[in-house]
Amino acid sequence: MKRFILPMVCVALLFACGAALASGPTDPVDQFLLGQKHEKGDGVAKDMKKAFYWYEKSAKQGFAPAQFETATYYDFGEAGVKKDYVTAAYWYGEAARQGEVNSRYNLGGLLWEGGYGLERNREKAMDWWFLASLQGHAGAQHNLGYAYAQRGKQDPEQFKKAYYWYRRAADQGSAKDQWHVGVFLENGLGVEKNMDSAVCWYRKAAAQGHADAKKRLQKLGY
Amino acid sequence: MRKVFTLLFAAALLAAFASYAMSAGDGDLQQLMDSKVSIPGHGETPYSWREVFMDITVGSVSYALPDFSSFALSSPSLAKGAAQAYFQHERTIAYKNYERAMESGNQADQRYYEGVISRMEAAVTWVSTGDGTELRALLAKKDRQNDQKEDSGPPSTVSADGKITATGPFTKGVQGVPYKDRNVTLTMGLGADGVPVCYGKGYVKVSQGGDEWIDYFFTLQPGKPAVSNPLRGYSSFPSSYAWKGQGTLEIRYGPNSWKGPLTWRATLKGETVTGSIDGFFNSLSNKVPFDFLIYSIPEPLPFEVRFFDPSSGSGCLPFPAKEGDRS
Repeated sequence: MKRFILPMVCVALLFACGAALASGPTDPVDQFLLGQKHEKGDGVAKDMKKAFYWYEKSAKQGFAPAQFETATYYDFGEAGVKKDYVTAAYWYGEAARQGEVNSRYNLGGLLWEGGYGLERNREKAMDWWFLASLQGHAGAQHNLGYAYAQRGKQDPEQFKKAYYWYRRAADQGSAKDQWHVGVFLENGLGVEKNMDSAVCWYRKAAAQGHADAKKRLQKLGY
Repeated sequence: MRKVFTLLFAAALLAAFASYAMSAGDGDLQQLMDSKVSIPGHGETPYSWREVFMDITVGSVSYALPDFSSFALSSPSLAKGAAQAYFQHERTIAYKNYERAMESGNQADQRYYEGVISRMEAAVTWVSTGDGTELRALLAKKDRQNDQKEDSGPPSTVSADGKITATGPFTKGVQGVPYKDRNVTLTMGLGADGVPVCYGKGYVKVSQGGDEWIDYFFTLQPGKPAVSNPLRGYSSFPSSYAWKGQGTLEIRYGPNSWKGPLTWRATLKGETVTGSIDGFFNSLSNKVPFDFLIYSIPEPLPFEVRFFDPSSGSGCLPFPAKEGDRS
């Protein structure tokens, strides 16, 4: 008889835990907020596994911020969740299609690199960065600039597009993009060559501590 | 209390999320990314809509652009919504950046964004009316301009008769008013008695949407010296000087035009002339039939112009030497 007691206790405990979890919120926003509380340890014990549990529950009900959070667990392999780019891309995609800008940015990154079961698709990656860029995401604008700059090595017309997006990110204060804009202006890549403007952008980047911009200014005698 | 914060947080989250989802045309654009377009000269390979948008934005179209419905054969209504949303969005951003360039006095940036704005406006017309004539002309014109620019050397503004032209922008606009042009040109030289002379003109073009424009023409008549010794003559142009003068503002809107007086002042220091135009608001505000005609430009209207002379590093203009300094 005794040998049945321990397994029964375990089963009872499991049910109890399940019931405790099941008794939580049913609304996707509340589930997401509870996930956030567990992730930050805000009023409850910090517990990433529970955070993931509630994020995923909310995500399955279609709440985009939760879909983004769920995707990040698969993307970075956090809280015991196995790194899985296919599932990450699925959840990023669900949120991205609802207009969630960070998901569009991250989905672009996954598709650009590929791996962990996900097939690389750079055209599709650029489409998602393009959509995020139009929403003003400076990181996506930078990545789009980079992607077009890579193509510019074969087709110099592509530098015009690279300059356009680097410039958009630079206008938002991104130091690395201010540096790129300076380089493009100094060398006349995709834009009319203009040393004065190049120096102006190098100075903006240098003021934010950009090492390459500082070096370039020194070399140019500024 | 905690519940209140939770609700506030949730409301903020939902509001933020709603702003993503509700951005105009986003759904159409997203759908369009999944479809492709066949373009002439690109063989059987389907071409990305993203690339079409980018090609037009940066002026790098190497294929024919027939009327929009013929171009977007595969998904005309979806493409129309998405293209309209894209071009209008980029036009708004370009206007903002153009205004910034105006405020900072960066002429290269002004030229760059002028190009983007023109293409975006022509593209909006192309999508909404189907007529791509203007867009095609702009894309072709741009190439010709680039060719010309490569052939011509750096500009020198010093003329043979010893006059110099300095050009630059009005450095201030009215917030939210889309300016197409905002330029000032000053001509300077030495008068017969060696006294520095300055006169010029200015031009502001304001977009009223579609094909409507308001044009402002400023005529700056030769100014009087605004220095402590106004009779002093020079043998070469001084590196610092100041003038004040009068002039005329003419506003043209549609077939009508209105004129009124203005006053101006300018100060030369090194290679830069800064100044402003004012006195036009009161003289015109009750004469023009629509208030927006006069409210579209600020008063005073400051400007900053520079001369460019590659042969001179001294800050003094290379005018023909006269017989000594008569001061």
